[in-house]
Amino acid sequence: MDRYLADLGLIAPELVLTLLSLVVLVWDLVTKGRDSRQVAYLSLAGLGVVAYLLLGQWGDLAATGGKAETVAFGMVTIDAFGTFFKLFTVGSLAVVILFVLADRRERKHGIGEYYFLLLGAGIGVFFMVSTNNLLLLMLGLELLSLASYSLAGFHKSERRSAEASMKYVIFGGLSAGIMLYGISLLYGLTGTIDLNEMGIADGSGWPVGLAAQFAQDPVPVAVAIVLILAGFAYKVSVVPFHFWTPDVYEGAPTPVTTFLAVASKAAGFAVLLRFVGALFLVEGVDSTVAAYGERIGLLIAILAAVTMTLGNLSALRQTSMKRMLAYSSIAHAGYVLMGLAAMTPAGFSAAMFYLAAYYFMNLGAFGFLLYFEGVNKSEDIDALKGMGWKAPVVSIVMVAFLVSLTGLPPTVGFYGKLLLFYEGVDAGLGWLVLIAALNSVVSLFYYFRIAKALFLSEPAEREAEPQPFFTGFLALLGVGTILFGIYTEPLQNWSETGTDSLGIAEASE
Amino acid sequence: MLTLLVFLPLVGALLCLLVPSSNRALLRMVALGTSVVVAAMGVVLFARFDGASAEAQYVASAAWFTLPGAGAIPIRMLLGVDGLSILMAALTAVLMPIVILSSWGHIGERVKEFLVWMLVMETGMLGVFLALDLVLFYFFWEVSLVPLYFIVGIWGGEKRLYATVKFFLYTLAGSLVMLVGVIWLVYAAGTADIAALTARASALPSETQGLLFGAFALAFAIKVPLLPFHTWLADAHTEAPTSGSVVLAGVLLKMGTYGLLRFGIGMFPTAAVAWAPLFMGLGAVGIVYGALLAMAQNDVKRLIACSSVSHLGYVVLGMFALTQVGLRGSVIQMVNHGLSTGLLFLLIGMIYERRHTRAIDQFGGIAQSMPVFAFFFVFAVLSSVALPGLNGFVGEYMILLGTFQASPFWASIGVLGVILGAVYLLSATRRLIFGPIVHAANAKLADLNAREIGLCVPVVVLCVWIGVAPNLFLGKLDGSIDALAERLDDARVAAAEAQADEVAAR
Amino acid sequence: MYFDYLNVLIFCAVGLGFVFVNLIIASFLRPKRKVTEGLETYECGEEPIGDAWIQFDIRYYTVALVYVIFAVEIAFLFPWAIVLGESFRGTGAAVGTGIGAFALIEGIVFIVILFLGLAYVWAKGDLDWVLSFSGPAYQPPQERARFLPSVHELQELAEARNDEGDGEGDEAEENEEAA
Repeated sequence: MDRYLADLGLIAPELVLTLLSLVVLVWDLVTKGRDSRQVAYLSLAGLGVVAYLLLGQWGDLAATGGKAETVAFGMVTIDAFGTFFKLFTVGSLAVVILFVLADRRERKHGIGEYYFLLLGAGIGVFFMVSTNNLLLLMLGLELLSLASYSLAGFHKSERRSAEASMKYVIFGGLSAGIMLYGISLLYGLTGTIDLNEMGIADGSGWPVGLAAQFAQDPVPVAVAIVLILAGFAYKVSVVPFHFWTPDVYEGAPTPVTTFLAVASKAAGFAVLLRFVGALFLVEGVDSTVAAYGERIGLLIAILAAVTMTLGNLSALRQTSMKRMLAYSSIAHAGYVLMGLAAMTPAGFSAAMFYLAAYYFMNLGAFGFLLYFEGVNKSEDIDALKGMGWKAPVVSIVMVAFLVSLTGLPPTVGFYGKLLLFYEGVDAGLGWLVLIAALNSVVSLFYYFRIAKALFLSEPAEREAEPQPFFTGFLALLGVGTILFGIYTEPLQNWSETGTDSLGIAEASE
Repeated sequence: MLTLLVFLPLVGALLCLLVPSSNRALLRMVALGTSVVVAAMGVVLFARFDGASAEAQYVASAAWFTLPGAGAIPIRMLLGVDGLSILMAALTAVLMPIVILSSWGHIGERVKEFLVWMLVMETGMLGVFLALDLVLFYFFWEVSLVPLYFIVGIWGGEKRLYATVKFFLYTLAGSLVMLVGVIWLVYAAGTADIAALTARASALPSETQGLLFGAFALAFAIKVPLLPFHTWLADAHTEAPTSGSVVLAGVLLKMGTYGLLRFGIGMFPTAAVAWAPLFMGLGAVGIVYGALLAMAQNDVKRLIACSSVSHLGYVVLGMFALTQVGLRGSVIQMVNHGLSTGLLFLLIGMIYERRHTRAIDQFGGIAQSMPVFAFFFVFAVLSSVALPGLNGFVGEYMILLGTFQASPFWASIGVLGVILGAVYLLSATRRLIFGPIVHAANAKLADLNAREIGLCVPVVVLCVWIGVAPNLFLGKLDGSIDALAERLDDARVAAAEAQADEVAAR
Repeated sequence: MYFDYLNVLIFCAVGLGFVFVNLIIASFLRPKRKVTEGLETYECGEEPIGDAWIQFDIRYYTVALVYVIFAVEIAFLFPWAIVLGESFRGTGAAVGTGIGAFALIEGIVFIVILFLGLAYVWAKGDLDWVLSFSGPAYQPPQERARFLPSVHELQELAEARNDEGDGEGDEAEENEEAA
């Protein structure tokens, strides 16, 4: 019994988060949703506890090199990689909840489910990023997806929101089906759903490793892996599985869009990195499998190039800022994929660093969008004309976010891109790096349309009411964007520790 | 000392942010005070700099971060000054107080934002010239880019949006290609220290060297701007506010030529030797083409912008002659162009503030109403057309001499440019300054006030100084240029040997 | 190894074949009489009231959902209870793992969470059969789009045709005789 309790201690953050979501639900029920802000404060406090537990866990893991411990009969793997993304998720959830509080178009009562669903999505992410077990991974992914479907349609009386939810459900269901099909194929071929065993088991008896399967016939394995990758690609909106992104992002309430664009996407990348890492790059992997991994790397590199190009080119023509940010998030998925395509530990940690950078700049950009939705009652870029002089602090901070999204110094986005480019060159993907650089030029054009509207037009007639707390919070994100662009040490250490715990072998040259 | 020099303007910018925007006088004093201190430091640095040594001096180093991966390459905050950068850094430091002071006349709105951007840009520009770490160099290179976008875009003329977007896209396209080059070079050489890179880069395969040279040269050629990429310059110059034009002409364009010198030629001498004819050709054609463009302009500011293309053509021509004299001439010509074109832009800004037009045919005969202005304007034009005794002569003479040693043909084209330059500048002067007063508005123009004269005097003094005693300035270059020339000689010898081997193999 | 899956394929093929072959054979063999009763929905011999193309009340879905939730719960709880009972008796697979009391508490937690959900649905009023709704009253669409005419419409059509004129009515009778 003590052993099980000790095991429970390892998943304490998950347990607290689950408990928190239940308490939130009951609280909302008991108070009959009179004041949902209380629920939000309660959620924030609970997330604080979760973050505290996670930081403690991180400290323990970092001290031991971030190596994995498994609990729940090997279902859950606690390692620095997972904890990195859990911290990321807790951070984004807290910001999203603050955004809900700051959303002027949102009701102040009777929306307790909003917070419950957000926390539920968080639980999904927690389990999906900390497992090597495909079944639990799928469950976590589905929990995240179900919560996201409801959240996207949270304003069910609005046509756009309902439409977004419907599209999301249909695309999501389809891709989940495709992915499950891949998982079942893989299970049938290898006799295990544990990624570690799949990667390194040898051919004698069950479970059969991938190596033995490759030796027998590579085609079914390839089909299975491509199907699973398609499922992940949908989650992180990689071309050609991106069609849902602009519509859903546009229709969903802005805080939900923020959640989808930041937390959900990062979670998708987390499982993608873990999946590819555990199957193809892990220490002791068979050489035929590693060789096949290189081909997967090439496939990912091509997808990355197509994704960033298409995302950026589509973003050029948008007039709605929300839709533009949706396409830009597709483009950023392409950049992150570069790190994955490098297929090296350093490339992985560059991808993680870029996600951390993306946290700051994209949360900031969406916060800015939310701010001006409240002011202008519109998402159009044209509505921002001349507002920079009316709300100077937010607008200047926004310029920092835009500079960072474009990838110019002295911001965290620049440093993230530098790392990605460097690792790309390191992995011999010079052509991809060149495409990414040219894409940055394209992205400059549309990002700076916002700056242009804000500052390079005559001051607007309207006044923006001051929102001091929201402004201060965005300024804080802006400070983070710039600070971590110069003092990169902590984020870099964190992402490296996270990657180390995956046990990926150093590339042999 | 260099750390302070580079980051003091940033501190000044932060101070400006703290001052309420209604208190303009204090804002201006803070900005001016900061830039004057920086300028003083720049002068001291220049005076103390030992020109005979090729080594970087006043090196300041601090750990920054480490690139992960196979090599674990440390990136450092490495600042230092050598013969190639000393003149540029000093020029930047000295020009900035003038620029900031000049903005008092024409920047009436949003003073705070303007001064903050200016000071941030100063940090970026000084950083570009003083960085001795390739990644740090790139960092500052981009930092100096964003402020100008806003300076042109907010305080510029009528077509400012078009101009600023064009400027931004052109430069960024170049610099991102350079970023790829930077990363590749750092990866291939295993270090980001420019001194170490310079030593190791020539050991790379010659094909790689050629590609890297191309990546760097493209970015710098856009920035200079060399001939096919020059169109952004005319628009940006014309639409920028006066102080923006001065910085653009005085310093930002030099970042391109400086980059060509240090990274293009310094790191890849073999490739530079191979590509030199192309660049000399582009430079020489740029001289003539810019001059012809300038002749056709009615807008004074556009005329000066086109003359910039022509003058920078000289710089590139002299540089890629790859001779001792040519290299020196081109470095000194960078300073000259910064001074005399900067002065021209300042003066045009002053009459623009009075008449709100820049069309040459709107003027004429203002020597009668504004004699002091006329004096400075004629002085600047003469310095620009290289009158012996003034700075322009030293630079152009050395460049043409150096070029003649390498290629008499392109030198003769360059000489053609001297004549054309005299034609368009002097005829513009005649139409602008002399002759009868045609427009009544010109008769009552107030002459320059004390502030405006104060702006011009330091530039004039420097122009004469370089013209009369150039050795003080040229002496600072000796060590670095000698080392560079030596490497170029080695590269030529190696190239000749390789050719000989090839012939022998046949 | 693909032949391992061949039997699945054969199974599918036979299954599909069974359906369609039977239908085709039936279409050849069966008598064809055009009477309205033949087109009616087959409802266990009862005469249908209305047609099948109606919107079902959303309340049925709630019932179905609640049913699915508790069915799944039962599916979980049976094996849990058996293993738990064995471990308390000291037999079965769980001996020596010391999981007994722990699993008991976990099972209770599971049930509590499930009942929390039920309580939520209850408190929100989603289990009330008569729902309170404060919005505008439901307006059924005037023209209902459908694929096929309903039986009643066919009958009405036929009656209308009979009433229209004797000549046409004769033709209809002739057709019936011919059939």
